[in-house]
Amino acid sequence: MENLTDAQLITLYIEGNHKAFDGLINRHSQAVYRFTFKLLNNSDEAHDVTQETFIKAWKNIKKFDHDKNFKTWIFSIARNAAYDKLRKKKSVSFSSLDEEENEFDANIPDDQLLPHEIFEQNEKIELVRKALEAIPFDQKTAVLLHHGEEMTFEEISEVVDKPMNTVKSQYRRALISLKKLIEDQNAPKA
Amino acid sequence: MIKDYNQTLPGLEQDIISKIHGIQRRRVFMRQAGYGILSLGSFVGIMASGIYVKDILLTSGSYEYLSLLFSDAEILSYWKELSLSLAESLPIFGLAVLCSVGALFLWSAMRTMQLQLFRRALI
Repeated sequence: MENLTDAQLITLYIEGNHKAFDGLINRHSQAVYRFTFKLLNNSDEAHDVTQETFIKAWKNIKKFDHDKNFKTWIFSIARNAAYDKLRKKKSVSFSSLDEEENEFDANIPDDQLLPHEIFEQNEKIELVRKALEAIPFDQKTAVLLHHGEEMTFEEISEVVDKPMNTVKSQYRRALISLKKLIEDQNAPKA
Repeated sequence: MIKDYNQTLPGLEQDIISKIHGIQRRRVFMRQAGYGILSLGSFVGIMASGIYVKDILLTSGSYEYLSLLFSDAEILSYWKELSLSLAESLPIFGLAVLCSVGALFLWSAMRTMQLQLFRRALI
């Protein structure tokens, strides 16, 4: 199963091999979880959204367009599910992030780093995380998919179902906003 | 830096697979119940139409034509007349219903068994 492409696994599943879909889950679920976790900033919600994403994909697998990429399709479902989750939750205020800081306790830094380096790295991660929380959902999606999942702008435009130029401009605006937010956070408080 | 806070969740794959298998088992159970009811209904249909066909055959004289066919070989020279008389006396509607419910019973029973095998494979 591991040597088969996503398209081959889907074909096998449709032909009646029920283990083939498990192969797709094993291949993509952690990446979808990482993405939704960064979008939602909550482990339980990311778990639920990831589960919901694969259930939706499983229910609609026969409608899947074989000319498209499964990865972008599944990320598109995940993005929409995360967006719905956020909408239900209403907008999370920037300050409320502090309540969920324990979510990042699971980040295990590189063992090779010295204590002060670990501290610095965690501080930087925290800065980026807080800055990401403050930018609009679409901009955040573009940055997370480009840097986190190493997707091309073409793939991201498939995920968000928007023209590539729109995605590029969202990405640029996101970088500008992130830079400004991180600088503001780093600036000494009066 | 965005990659630096990548997280994995152990057991996530199994959670998703179990959830999907649970939904699948429920769906299969519902379909199996449907086919089971259909099998039972068609079995009752077989019994009812079988009794109906048997009664018609006994009263219509079809048996007499059939016994004549086996007892007197000369009757075969009048095969056209014999066939027509036999066809007239046969309960065509009853036989059609019997064949239909019989086919329905076989099909639904086969589907019920197929689904049972699939359910076992999911567990």
